[in-house]
Amino acid sequence: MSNKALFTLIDVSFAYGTSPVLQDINLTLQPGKFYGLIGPNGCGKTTFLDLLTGCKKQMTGTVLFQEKDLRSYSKQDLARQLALVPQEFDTGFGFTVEEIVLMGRHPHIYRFSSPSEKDWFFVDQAMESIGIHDLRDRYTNSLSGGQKQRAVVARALAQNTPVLLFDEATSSLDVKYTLQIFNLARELVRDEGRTVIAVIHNLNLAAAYCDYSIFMKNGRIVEHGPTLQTMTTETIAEVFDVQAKVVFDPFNSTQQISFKYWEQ
Amino acid sequence: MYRHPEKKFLLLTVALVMCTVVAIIVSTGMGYMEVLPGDILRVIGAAVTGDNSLLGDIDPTVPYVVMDVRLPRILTAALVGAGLALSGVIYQGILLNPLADPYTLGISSGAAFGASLALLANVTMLGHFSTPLFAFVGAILTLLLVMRLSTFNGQISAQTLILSGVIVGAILSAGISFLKYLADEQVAIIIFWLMGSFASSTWNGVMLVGATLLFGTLVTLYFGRDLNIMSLGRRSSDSLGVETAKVRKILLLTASLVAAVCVAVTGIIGFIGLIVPHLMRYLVGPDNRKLLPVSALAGAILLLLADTITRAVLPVEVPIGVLTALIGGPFFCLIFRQKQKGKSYE
Repeated sequence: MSNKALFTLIDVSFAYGTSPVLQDINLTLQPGKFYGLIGPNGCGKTTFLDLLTGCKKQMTGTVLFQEKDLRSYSKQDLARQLALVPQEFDTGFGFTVEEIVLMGRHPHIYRFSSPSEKDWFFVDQAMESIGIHDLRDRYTNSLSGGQKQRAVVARALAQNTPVLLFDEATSSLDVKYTLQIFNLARELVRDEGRTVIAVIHNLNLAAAYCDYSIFMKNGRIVEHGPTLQTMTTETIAEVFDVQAKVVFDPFNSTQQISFKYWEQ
Repeated sequence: MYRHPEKKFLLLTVALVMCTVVAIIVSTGMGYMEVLPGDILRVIGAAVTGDNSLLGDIDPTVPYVVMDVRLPRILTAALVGAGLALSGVIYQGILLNPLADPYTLGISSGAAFGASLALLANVTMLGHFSTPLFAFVGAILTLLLVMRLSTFNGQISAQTLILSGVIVGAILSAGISFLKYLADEQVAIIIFWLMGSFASSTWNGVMLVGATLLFGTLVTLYFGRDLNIMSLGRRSSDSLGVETAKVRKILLLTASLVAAVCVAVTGIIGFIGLIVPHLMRYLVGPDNRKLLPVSALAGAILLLLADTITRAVLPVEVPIGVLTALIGGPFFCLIFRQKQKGKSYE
């Protein structure tokens, strides 16, 4: 598995009705990396993730997962490999945090079986590492936006998959929890060789955490490659139409981006 | 599924089962002719075992009253109550809308239109089954139409499903009014059927509803955990390994089948499918694997009580659909207000 490509997309396109959302996507994603998916609102990032999880089917082209057609996997097989942290989720009819996190074990538990010791171990570990252990008996519909989002991250961790997909997983979190989750994701990539593919709006976070960056605009990939090489003034100007300077930040020893806010 | 043994759920289930049995026996004894519980058990025992010596010195009309008049009606009421509650649980679970029930999807209207058509045309080729059969066909055709209308890119969305159901239901209601206008002399039969009644229940009806209910319960329990996860929305449930589109279709068909059979056998009975799942969710929480059995039992008890009131307590027999709406409507308003105050479980 180590030298197999994780995802291969060949000439993939997708449209809602007649309006194209993704066009001519050709990309290979390798395992064991932290990928950042970057682009303006409505450029097709979420649809892109949906194609990777099999939630949506491409109109043309091929999506391969571990060199096999994604469509040949059952939903359960995929759910044992890929965990998704969606942008938002329905709270349905008030389950508790613990029940929501336990749902992450669904693909691992046989129909009519009860969760095993191992399942509870992963549930506890996930809640522990996100720091929501004390919220375990709270109903999700009584939680704040940030607490909900952390519960969903814990659910994805409990799923214990080699690949994690984050769709703006930290959009409603304050800086402390944002860093906590990004550091957790970084550790999973560094120490356990897992893959993280994250939609990120904060370019500074992307510059700090992502090994590779994929820049998208109007349903097409504009630029992709190692973050150090692709995160440039030119790319940012092309994709977002803003002026920025990419500087080395000695505090973290990473690249950081400084935006031009107004004309001096 | 839970770490802590669910004593409350077990107690509630046992209590509800006992209540159902007691309600069936007590209500069988009630009516124009009073029958003692002991006699009822002996009559049932004799009928089941075929051993007529059990009857002893009981008045010979009692076995007839119990077995041929009251029990079919009482069991139909209980089974229909359970069936309506079951379909309510499924609709609410899938559509994530606490207002979802056979009405919202136009199923009831479709069944009613079919039945009205049969009554108007005076179709009797299939004897007593003509009206139920037409009702059933009407319900299934409506469901297929509603599902077809709300399918885009091969996917059904919960919102469009309800919208389509309301639209189709409105058209069908107009159709029913037109049939009533045409019906002239038979209009009373149509109106009475539409209001729902158990008066003409038969053992065949009991068997039909019972078999459908059993099937529906097994299917729903099979997909119980998937249904729980589907409450998180399509994107989440897909990524958690649930074949959302497939399971949604299967469960919708199952719930509609159960609802259609109930409507076909008894006419339109509202609010049971709406209120019972709500009430039970307060008691056992949102887990469908628990919600389903307790809702079915509670639905059975509730409809049986309502039918017994109209049959044996009230001086005139009020149509059961009218009674459940009169009791259920205000009750539903109460729940609705409570929810607005933020005291709800949601």
